[in-house]
Amino acid sequence: MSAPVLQVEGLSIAVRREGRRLVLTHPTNFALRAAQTTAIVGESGCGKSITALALLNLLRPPLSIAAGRILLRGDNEVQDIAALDPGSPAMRDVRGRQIAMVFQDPMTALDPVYPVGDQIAEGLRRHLNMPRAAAIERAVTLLRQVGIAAPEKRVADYPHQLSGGMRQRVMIAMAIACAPRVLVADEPTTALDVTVQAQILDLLRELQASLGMACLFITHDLGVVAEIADDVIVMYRGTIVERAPVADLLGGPRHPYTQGLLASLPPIDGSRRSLRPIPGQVRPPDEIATGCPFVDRCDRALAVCASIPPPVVALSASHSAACHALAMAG
Amino acid sequence: MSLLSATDLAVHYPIRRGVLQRVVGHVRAVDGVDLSIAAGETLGLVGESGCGKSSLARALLLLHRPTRGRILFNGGRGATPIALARQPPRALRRLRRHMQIVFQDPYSSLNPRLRIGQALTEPLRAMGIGTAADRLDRARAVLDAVGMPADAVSRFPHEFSGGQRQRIGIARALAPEPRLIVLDEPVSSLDVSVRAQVLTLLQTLQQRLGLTYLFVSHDLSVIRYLCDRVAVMYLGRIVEAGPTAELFRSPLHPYTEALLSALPLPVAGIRRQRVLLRGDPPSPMTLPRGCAFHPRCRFAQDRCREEAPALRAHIAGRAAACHFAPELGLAGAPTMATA
Repeated sequence: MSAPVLQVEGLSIAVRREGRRLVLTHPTNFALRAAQTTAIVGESGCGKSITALALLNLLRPPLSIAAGRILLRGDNEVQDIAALDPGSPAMRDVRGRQIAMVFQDPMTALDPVYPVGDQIAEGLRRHLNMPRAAAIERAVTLLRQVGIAAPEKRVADYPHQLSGGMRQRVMIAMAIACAPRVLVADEPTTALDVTVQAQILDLLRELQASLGMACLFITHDLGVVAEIADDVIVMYRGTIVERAPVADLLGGPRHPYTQGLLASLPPIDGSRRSLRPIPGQVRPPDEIATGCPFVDRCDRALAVCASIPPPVVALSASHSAACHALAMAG
Repeated sequence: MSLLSATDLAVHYPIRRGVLQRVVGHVRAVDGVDLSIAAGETLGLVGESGCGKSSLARALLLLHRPTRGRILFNGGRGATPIALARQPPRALRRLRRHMQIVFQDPYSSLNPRLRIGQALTEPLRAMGIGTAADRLDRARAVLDAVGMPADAVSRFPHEFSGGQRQRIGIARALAPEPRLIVLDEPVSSLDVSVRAQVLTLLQTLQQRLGLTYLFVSHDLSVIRYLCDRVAVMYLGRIVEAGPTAELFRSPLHPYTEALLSALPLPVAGIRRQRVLLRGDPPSPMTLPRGCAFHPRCRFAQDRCREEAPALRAHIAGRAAACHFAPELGLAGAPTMATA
């Protein structure tokens, strides 16, 4: 297996609220490899989006990185993104050049007053010192690459002149413009219709195959995970509860939360067998838990679960889950 | 026996331009829909954003006046069907107790300044149901039916989570003891685990109270799970309708086929042959000539560019609006067996 392009070690994110510091994600470790897609799944508030933002050092106060390292491996050096100042020139050299991001809502992520071609060209001019004309020409090529028809005309369009699917394609063109090593995509298809979502997922897969980027894909949709991911990380209340290659995770989930998520989905064979929802709801992050984050909704909770954080149990070389019940089962 | 039926229903919104706000055209959000909902069934209405499914659902309840068409509500038990669009406002208000709606967004569909008790009893008062004490009893009973504590009546919407607010929205719809409930994307804004709770609740309520549902959604997997019959909408028209299992197994309309093939399933390793649609749906302001789907259809012929196909029955109980419907041999939803 190739060396990871990006390695996250002990990353923890906190929010400052009324003078107190509240930890939102507990020390998190994962690695992204070239040409591989890792998906982070979880429900709202599990910490998946702030983890994505942290990789680009885009957290703004009151959010901040509380601890940990984000190591980006270049050709001959390793850089710790977490140690860089978010507004520093060094960080700006990384952002868009080494790591790029695709956001959920292209309408708010694109600037409404500039033509899309200029927005794509901006990164090329900043990072690769291209003259404007050459950068615009390259933008046309990129638009063609992401499947936009008549790109030489579209390059002069403003975001409002494009449909939702086309805007998301523009965002992707912008992200891949400088051939980054890492692409972070935060729910890039959630706002799209299913037929357009299918187009965008196919596009992302093709681009990754041809460009070899490492990709971190944030989503709440296990169906999308099945389509795009090689490896999956499941988060619950700021903690990684399970991780595995996609086939193992969807085919044989081991953590009670992951099992509950899959049992909450309508059966894929179209049968009407009743759903088994997870009882209760996610507790707010300010209710500090000492034990397992899932203890209050878990049907296999033991006495120990309420007081001691669960150990990470290795179920195979690539599959692990954080659960007392699994640890006891051996 | 159909509980509610619509014939040639249309909802056109005027487009106004300029200082004088002159009408320069119309968005044909719903454009000639025939639909009937049988008592006790769940009919799914599926389509992508902008296809007119919410406009249709609201027009069926006369929440806005349709531009044209007829809606018959069949109160049953020997009563003559009532033409809803012809009812004067006062009569319509009394009829509303039979037809209720649950909205997508549980944050904006509850008034933040009203306690839950008021939010539930106020509509009953407007419909002239019971005394104040009766109405409060009713509010407590429906809250209990949706699994909420009785003390919720004295609390405000902001004290509840999204899933709880959607339960309150369902309780409000149940309060006047309706025959029909329109569910307009009721679980789309909920997390997966909470969504399953609400779907299970809707099923239980239907069995217990004999409710009829019109379930509007863009989510095919939820539609497949909950609905007896499905109507697929595209650009203001119903392009296919039929029993759920059959429609998913062997769709008759190319658009249904494309929707089914785009459905992401939580199973690894299905690298299936997808029927990708070209481009985006055209704007409902400028509908294409002929069949509205022809610019994106892989089977389109000259006839499709000229002549709009009517929704007609091809097989018993199944209808499609396509000139070539039964002969296309379209693929159904992927199953485990074909994976």
